[in-house]
Amino acid sequence: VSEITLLLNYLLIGGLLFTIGLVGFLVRRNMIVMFLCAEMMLQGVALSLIAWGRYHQDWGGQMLVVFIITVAACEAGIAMALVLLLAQKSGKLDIAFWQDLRDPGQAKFVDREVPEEMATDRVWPTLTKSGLEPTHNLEEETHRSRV
Amino acid sequence: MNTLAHSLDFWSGMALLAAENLPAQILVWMLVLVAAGLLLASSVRTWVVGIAALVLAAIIVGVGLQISSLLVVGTILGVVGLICVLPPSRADLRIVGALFFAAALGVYAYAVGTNNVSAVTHDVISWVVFAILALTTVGSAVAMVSSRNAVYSAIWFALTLLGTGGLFLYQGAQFLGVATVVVYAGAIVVTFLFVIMLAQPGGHAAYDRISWGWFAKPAAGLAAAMLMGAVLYALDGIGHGGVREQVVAAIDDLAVSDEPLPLTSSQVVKATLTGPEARRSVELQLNSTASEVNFSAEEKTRLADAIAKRLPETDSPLKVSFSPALAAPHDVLADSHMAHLGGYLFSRHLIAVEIAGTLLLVALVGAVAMLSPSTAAGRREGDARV
Repeated sequence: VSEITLLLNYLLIGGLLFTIGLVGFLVRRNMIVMFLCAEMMLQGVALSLIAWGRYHQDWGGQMLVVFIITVAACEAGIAMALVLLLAQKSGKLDIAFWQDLRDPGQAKFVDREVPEEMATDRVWPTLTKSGLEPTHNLEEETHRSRV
Repeated sequence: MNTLAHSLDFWSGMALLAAENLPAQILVWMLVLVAAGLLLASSVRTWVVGIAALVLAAIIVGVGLQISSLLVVGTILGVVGLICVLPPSRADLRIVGALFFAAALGVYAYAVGTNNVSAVTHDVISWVVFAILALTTVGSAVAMVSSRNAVYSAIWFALTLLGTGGLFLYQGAQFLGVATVVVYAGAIVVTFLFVIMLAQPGGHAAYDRISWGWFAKPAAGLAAAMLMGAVLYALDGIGHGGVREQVVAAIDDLAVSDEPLPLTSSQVVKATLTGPEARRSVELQLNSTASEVNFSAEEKTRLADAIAKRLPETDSPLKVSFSPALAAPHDVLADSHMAHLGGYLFSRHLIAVEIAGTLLLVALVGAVAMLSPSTAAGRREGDARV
């Protein structure tokens, strides 16, 4: 794989990541998901920077990515504190709750229809079972030396 | 200075390409069509018309600018798929969207792969590795954006980060590959998960299944299509339009050609271009030690003439000059990767490192101050007084 195709491939992937993050940021309403989307846009930029650094045989690209990671960590800490504060006030992570901050004269955004919840929405991630379940000894488990 | 010169040269090259080739009337027509489509959509109140306008615009951009058409088709398919799977959607629509997206990725993989894969075995292997990493990254990114449960979004994002870390490794950025996995996937995503479980203990919520009315999805899709169109256009320019690529091709010819050359071809082991790529002058650096190849001034002139002769005609003649035939000073693929990176980081960017450390401290203090009980209580009292 020549250097130029490597660069083109990485710019393509970086652009895709940035674009998907952008779309997610514009469409989603959960504050945390919006923030994840912003992080993903940063990842797209980081990929492009690394590719350019490799192409020009220069450390500058990797250097910028080091600082991107640092600043993203700071940003995540601050943003999570803010999100927690907002969630404590409103009781939910919905960004539309804060639309009172809009300009005067703007119409209020009202949800027309909310699709109903499906059973698949309630599934939490679980760990796969592993190992053997030991045989239980009821007496031993419920035994108290003194009550 | 080198880096700055590179970036400046990149953007000025982009601007030159755009000024030379971009047919402005096509852009205007596209904007008119999109505006019409969105107006129609606002009266019909459906996003189908929005998608139609978007697809039309993308086709016009693609055909009009004559960028590599397969990638344009892939982009259109991908945007439609993305719009279908994004939150306010039914289960069947999500399946359709996933199919669209799989088709888009297939088209992308084909279009990119035809450039990449040659008959050489290690080329095929490296292409397959790259394809797997890229598919993981982009696929889990889409899954993250479209997931209806924030917990799954965070987990998919962790998978995206693993893919990105792999892509970093693939480029030879070992430290960053590991740092991404450790810092991002190990710390940041876990913090996200923690906050999600703290703030949204039910796990699922109504606002994860809807968006901002009907408008958000077509508008975001349009933005995505335009952005990707711009990226593809720029990539097309980088891939084919650059003087640098012509020179590289010429040098490759030079290295493998059977024709009598000014020097024996065994002496030109591998020629790479480095340095500021001014559009009219090209610096040629020979990637071999000085003791192996020792060009005289006359030989350099002859080689430069040979290279310049094989280039297509340009407005002004190309000037080919030689930098000292030593190993590249900033070799990002050096064996002692960490040593080079650390040396560069702590010498040239020492002050930036100190500032970044201070920033971390400030962020830490700020986050604690925002959430500490005493200030929170003070804020509540202030609220009561107001």
